[in-house]
Amino acid sequence: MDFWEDDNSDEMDIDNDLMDDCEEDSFSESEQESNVKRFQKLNIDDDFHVEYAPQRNTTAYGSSRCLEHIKSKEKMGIGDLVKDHALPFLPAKSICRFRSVSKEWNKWITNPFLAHKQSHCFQDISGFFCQIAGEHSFISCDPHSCGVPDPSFSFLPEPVILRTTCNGLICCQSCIEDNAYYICNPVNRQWKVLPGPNYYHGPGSAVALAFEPSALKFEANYQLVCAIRLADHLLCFEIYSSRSKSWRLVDALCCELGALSGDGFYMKGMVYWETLSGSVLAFDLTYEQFGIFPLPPECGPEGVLTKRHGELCYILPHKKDNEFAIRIYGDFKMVLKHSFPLELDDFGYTSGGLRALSCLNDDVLAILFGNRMITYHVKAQKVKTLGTVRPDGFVTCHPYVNSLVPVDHPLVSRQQANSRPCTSSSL
Amino acid sequence: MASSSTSVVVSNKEKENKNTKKVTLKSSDGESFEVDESVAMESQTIKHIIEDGHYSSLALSLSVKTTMASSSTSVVVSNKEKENKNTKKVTLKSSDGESFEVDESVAMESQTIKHIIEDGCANNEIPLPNVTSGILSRVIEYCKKHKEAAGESEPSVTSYTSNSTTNPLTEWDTEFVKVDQNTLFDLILAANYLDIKGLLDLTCKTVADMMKGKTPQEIRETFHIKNDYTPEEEAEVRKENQWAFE
Repeated sequence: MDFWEDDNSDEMDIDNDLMDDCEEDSFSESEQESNVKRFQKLNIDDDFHVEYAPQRNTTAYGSSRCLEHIKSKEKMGIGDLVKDHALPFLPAKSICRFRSVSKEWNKWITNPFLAHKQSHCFQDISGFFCQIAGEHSFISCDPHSCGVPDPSFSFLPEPVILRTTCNGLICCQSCIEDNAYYICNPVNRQWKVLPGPNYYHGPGSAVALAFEPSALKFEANYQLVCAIRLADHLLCFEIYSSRSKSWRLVDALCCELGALSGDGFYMKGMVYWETLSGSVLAFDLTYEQFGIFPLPPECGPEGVLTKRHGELCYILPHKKDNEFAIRIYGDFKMVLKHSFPLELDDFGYTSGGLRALSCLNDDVLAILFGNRMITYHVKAQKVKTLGTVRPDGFVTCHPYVNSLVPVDHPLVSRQQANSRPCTSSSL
Repeated sequence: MASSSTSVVVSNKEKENKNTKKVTLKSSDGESFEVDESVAMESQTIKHIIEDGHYSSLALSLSVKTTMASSSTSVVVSNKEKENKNTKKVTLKSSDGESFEVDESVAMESQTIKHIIEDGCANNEIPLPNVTSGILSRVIEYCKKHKEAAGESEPSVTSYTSNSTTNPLTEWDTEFVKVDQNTLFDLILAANYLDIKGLLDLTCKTVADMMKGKTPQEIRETFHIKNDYTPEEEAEVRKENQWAFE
């Protein structure tokens, strides 16, 4: 896929925001000498005539940079503004489709600056990657606007299982040989294989991907945090950092917990894993310390840790007779914050039960109802079916953000970016 | 204090608009004067009463008759009014000749206007030939609301009892952009021209929601963009990104 063919590093003026910042800084330089009477008559445009009376201590309104700044803004029509400022708020599929709007749009869309801006501006959960028995599929929240070209991960060099996702990046693991970890983005089909860890990540281990898109940092900086089981009740943490391109064992050792129930969830500098015994192992990436807090006693595999209203919460479906309800627990004490019934009468009886998948935004929950994936709008009490999954087993569903985030920085050479000789990213 | 021939009752009324707490001063002959608490506190006596909290029903004996009370309060009031008048104002003039007087601090939400003022050229009206009065009044409304919200010390409270995002500013923003398409486009142009980042982001995010399901042809029509591809070139781009068209 020739997504990144254009090296548009000389076309920085496409991104007006960057240029605006440069121009605005120069205003402070234009302070002129005081106590000089100035009479300025300016013809800025044929249609626009400005006159200013004599004033002391003034710099001309028409100091040439200020003038050009405003003039360039005047020239921009709605099409240009939408291209520059609205596109970054769109999901990747819509943006890729709009490459055929015009040549200028195509140029901007293939510019790495746009990908960087979009990864920061668009952070909505766009769908779920589902897998069972080595089979992958993608269920979109809105098929017209969110999607990926290849949901089967066939662009990777070997068959993989999907471990975890975070803000547009996906962590997969090879099924064969040395079980290498891959970090990829299925939208642009870029991928990177991580060097082997220093410790054995056996079956009792769990991972979590920590990636926070930054407006300032151009390269995607992420960490893969692995909780490794050393012995029956002994966990240690090994972290891969994309910045250092290496693995590191942290000092913290956890000897208080039993088995972890699955891969973790990242939010606001912390990583959270559920345990089989009904508690949460929280790891703080800044201080490299862990903490443990309990989940509500009714917790189970049908519940999920997710983010709502900017805070961590636990969503648990509850079934009594044929009535369904959703309970939401929050705060570190995981107290019951809200409970509301689910109106699912139209959907009939299901033997599969309910499983909470994620909170899409503050008002919408994603739930697996039997083998049907639905979204539930809490205020409007509206149910929408997104798709179905295979009914013959436990399907893992990972929330995914349709981001353009590059895995391999297009302007950095392959050799610089990867430490392993045969790691490559397809373009 | 004085004889018991006159009395002044001070009562406190909390108004809905918490920015101006009011106080009612009642003279001995029954006339009530409602004034801003800050104004009434020009009187040290009343100030102490309020601060001590003993004002729900306290009769003060003052040998003050109505006329005197009213004249002193009116003097006090006018002093405060004069002070308020000192908050700097600027006048913005729309393309169709309408003038809008706004607080300078509100107008400075626009980086463009901020630079004009800082360059010292805002003694006269600031002409905005690219913005009509209808749009300018909406933009001013946005700036006022966001300036107000920035000044409030009360943090937005996350309440789980209601199911909606309880940030009142977000809800206000959502209502603010519920306008027809042309108005929305004009707001984007104005936000860009006046350089108001928050408004530009808000309006562009709204447009993005409207755009995301459209076809490229619909995008061209909505935003008047010329298709400069040849049919072969367009087919090529489409083929490369076939998945995005399905």
